[in-house]
Amino acid sequence: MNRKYKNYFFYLTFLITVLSFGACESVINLNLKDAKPAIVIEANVTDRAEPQIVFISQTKPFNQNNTINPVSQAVVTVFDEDGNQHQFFETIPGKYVSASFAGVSGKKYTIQVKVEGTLYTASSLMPQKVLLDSLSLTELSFFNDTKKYVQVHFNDPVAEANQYNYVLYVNDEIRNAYYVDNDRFNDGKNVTNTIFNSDPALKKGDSVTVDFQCIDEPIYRYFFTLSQIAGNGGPPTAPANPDSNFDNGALGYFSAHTSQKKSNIIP
Amino acid sequence: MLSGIIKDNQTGETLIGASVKADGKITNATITNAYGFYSLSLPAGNYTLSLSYVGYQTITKQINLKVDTTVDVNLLSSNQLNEVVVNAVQQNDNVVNPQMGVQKLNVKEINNIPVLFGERDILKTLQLLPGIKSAGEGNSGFYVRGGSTDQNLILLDEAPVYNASHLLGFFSTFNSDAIKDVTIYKGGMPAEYGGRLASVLDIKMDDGNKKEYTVEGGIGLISSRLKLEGPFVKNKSSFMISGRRTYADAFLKLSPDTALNSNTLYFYDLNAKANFQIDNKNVIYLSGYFGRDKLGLNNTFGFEWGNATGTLRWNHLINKRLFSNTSLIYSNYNYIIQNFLEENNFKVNSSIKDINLKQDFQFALKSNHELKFGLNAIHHTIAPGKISSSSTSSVNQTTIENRKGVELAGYVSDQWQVNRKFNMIYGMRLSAFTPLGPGVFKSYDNEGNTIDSNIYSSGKIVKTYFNVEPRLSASYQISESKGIKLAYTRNTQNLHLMSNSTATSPTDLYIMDSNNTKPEIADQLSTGYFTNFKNDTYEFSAEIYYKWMQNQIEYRNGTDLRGNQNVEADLLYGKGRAYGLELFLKKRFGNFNGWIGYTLSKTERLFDQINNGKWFNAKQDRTHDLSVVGIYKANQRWTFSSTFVYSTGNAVTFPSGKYQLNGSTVFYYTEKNGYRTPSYHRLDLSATLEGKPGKKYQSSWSFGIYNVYNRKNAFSIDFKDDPENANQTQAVKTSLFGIIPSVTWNFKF
Repeated sequence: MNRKYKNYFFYLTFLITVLSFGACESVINLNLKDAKPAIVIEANVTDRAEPQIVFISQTKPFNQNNTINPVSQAVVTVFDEDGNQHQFFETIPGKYVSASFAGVSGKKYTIQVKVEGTLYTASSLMPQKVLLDSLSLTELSFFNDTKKYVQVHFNDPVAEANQYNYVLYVNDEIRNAYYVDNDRFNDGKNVTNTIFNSDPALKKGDSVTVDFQCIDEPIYRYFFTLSQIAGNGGPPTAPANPDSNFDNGALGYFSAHTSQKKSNIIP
Repeated sequence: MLSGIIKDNQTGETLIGASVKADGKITNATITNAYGFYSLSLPAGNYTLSLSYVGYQTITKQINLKVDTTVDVNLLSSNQLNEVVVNAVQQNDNVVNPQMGVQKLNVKEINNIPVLFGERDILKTLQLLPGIKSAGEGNSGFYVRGGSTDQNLILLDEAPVYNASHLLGFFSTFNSDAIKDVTIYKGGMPAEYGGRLASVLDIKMDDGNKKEYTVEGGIGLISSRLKLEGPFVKNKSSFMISGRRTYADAFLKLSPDTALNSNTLYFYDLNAKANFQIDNKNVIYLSGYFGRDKLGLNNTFGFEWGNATGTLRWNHLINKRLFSNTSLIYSNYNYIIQNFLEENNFKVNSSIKDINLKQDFQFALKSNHELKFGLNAIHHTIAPGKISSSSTSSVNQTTIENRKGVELAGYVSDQWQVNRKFNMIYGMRLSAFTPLGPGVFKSYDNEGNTIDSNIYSSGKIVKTYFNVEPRLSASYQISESKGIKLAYTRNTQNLHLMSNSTATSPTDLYIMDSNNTKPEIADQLSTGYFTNFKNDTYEFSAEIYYKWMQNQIEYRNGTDLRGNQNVEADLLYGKGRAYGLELFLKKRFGNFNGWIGYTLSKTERLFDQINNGKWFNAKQDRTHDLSVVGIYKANQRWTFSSTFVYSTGNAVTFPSGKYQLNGSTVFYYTEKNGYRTPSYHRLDLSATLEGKPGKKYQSSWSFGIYNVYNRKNAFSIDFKDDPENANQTQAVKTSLFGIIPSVTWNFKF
């Protein structure tokens, strides 16, 4: 609900400023500082029996291109609370892959990443799985601009806090890496949520896939902070790096989450 | 003992802050209070009494004072004289008056100053004064001496106005038609005011013409206004009613586009006031304000908000020395958000409500002592959010706990003329705040985890905070037209606005002191030099200030303030400091007048958990701030005016690097508010054509051009992937208002 509200708020602000008074946008040059590179770790463990993947990179200056600055020769290990250990191996620079294993709901996972003598550690609790019932399509019109959006349908379990992330793929390309939601307004309900995807709009013939993830609270907050900084349709908050669950100043996150995928073709 | 009431000769409106000076055996002077009443303690003898007020002809009277005497005076507005009056009496009140950090706005003056869309706006005009900064375009909020927008106490006929903006901040809630007097205290706050750290903006509504019925109004691009006033009983009681409504949505309705014409977008205001003079000693005033904004989108979404205030006052002259005012005040701000979509329909209702009882006394103790003292009790109720929905909706019905609290205050202050050169106002305010049950009050550790939870039953005291607030402001006259002043004040604040976004929104909500949140405290020390020259035609002042602030509030990363049951878990507490220099040069009379205001300032915050525990610039920090206002009366009918503003860009956080996460670009931030947006500057022009003078029916045209040289000032700066080349990032500036012409037609009969 909150995301919807924010989107409407955005459209209303948009109505007032752009349509009525003619706001304008322009690209400007700013003299931005180049911060000392920091380590970035993107680590996920899912409940699918598959090779789990960890990416390690470094930050780079704003004015350079978006190509990843990989960090090689890191030592990456994931433990579960029963003492099972999974080693990761670098396949291409910055990409570390384990042998196939599936995470289990209710278990806590810990990752250790060792880069040039510094050890970075994070833990995440894999939440209980909530079943994704189905996907559907809806059309919404804002100022004569009718767009198609994907909706997810599921039954939220009663009396427990649940957090969700809807990852959207369009024609097998990731479109929205995070679109988080929680159940504080619809606990225990049959929920329909619309994924307001970023541009371009969905069109007839597009194949859409939603990876429906149940995530733990710190990860929800991590992605919520990212979407809040981006404005998420509403007035943006003063930006700051989201609080990582890694220690020692690493950026990024470690998420143990469930994963269910469903696909549809836009009619 | 000499006392009386000063009024406008034509309308019978009482005049606030008019000066009264008696010269004879001794010299004594005072100004009229908020009800136009003055009293002077004088030994028997012959006196020359001079009564003056800005924009009015000064009246001089000879009196022989033997017993307690009442002298009520009607002053003649200079408008009625059709000539610019240069007062014969020394207008050096700004030098002599011990009150520091105060600015008064003449509502007539405001009417000539250019504004966006020709909508006269006292809040926007105030921002042209030094030490008072605009919170940005599309924002009616303002910053005073390094304080945030919620640290200003905005009073409309004594009732606090919690959200002073319309249309998401493009216009203020104050319709200048209905306003009589505007005074802002940015330092050296008198003891009768309390409850906010940075400033008090005291706005008084018109009482209504006591002599005849008049109608006035205006038709502008954005809105139309109509005001009606007149006597119930001539010279005894009168009323005033004033309304304003925008019609942006009327233009939308004209659109053939169904997506546009089914939207709602408007606001309206209603100000009303009545006064009844029961006898020579008792006057009753009743005033109210009601304003509402409504936005709606295609029957899918609705959003409305507004203030309602009401004030009932009883002025009672107990004797010639003792004046009493009793006020019963109500204030309510609320917003409603509705989503009509079938599967997710909901309605959110949120409000803050005050009931306030005030008793003030003014006592002319001796010829050189004037006492003010009083008591104040406010009951606050904050309803953060009640969510309701239909049975088919996936949204649950929930209510976030209401919070109740009582604010008590008592004050005493004395204006003491120590000698001919040395004047002071000194006093003390005692304040207490008590959050009350019912409710669950939790305590939190450093990370925001709940460590304790206590349930309080209805009316049970959770905690009481006491504060002693000394107030001192003194002036020393070096010569007839030169003086220095010094002030020290402590202020406290028990209500805190929750807003972690870069813009203010009607949904920002207040919280009150609790077991976790303590009263904000500010100590301010200021000093200044004040002088008039060229026969008081010019006025110049230089003030410096330093302010220490405690228990300031910031937010953890990712704090979601909407519908948050545990908002205090996400709050961080720290301290602040602000200091600056304010220069003000004003030409007060003549066909050409205006002013230049300049502020050099710094404001910073310190929080353990933000910016690695180092001082950072507050978002309202702006190094330089300049405003130039010129008004030229070319002839009887044409008046031209122009304003120019310049300020350093806002303190903001920009990225100092970037990285890729899940295939999308994420920006890397190093220091909080370590960058600046490009500097802001803008020139506005306006011209007013008055109708032929001397007729009963009067009309005028106002023409304006906002942002004459079409400066693209930054409203926001966003960083994103280049849409043409996804492998690059770019900074995108959004500007709101380019050059905007306006025209308004005003009438009066």
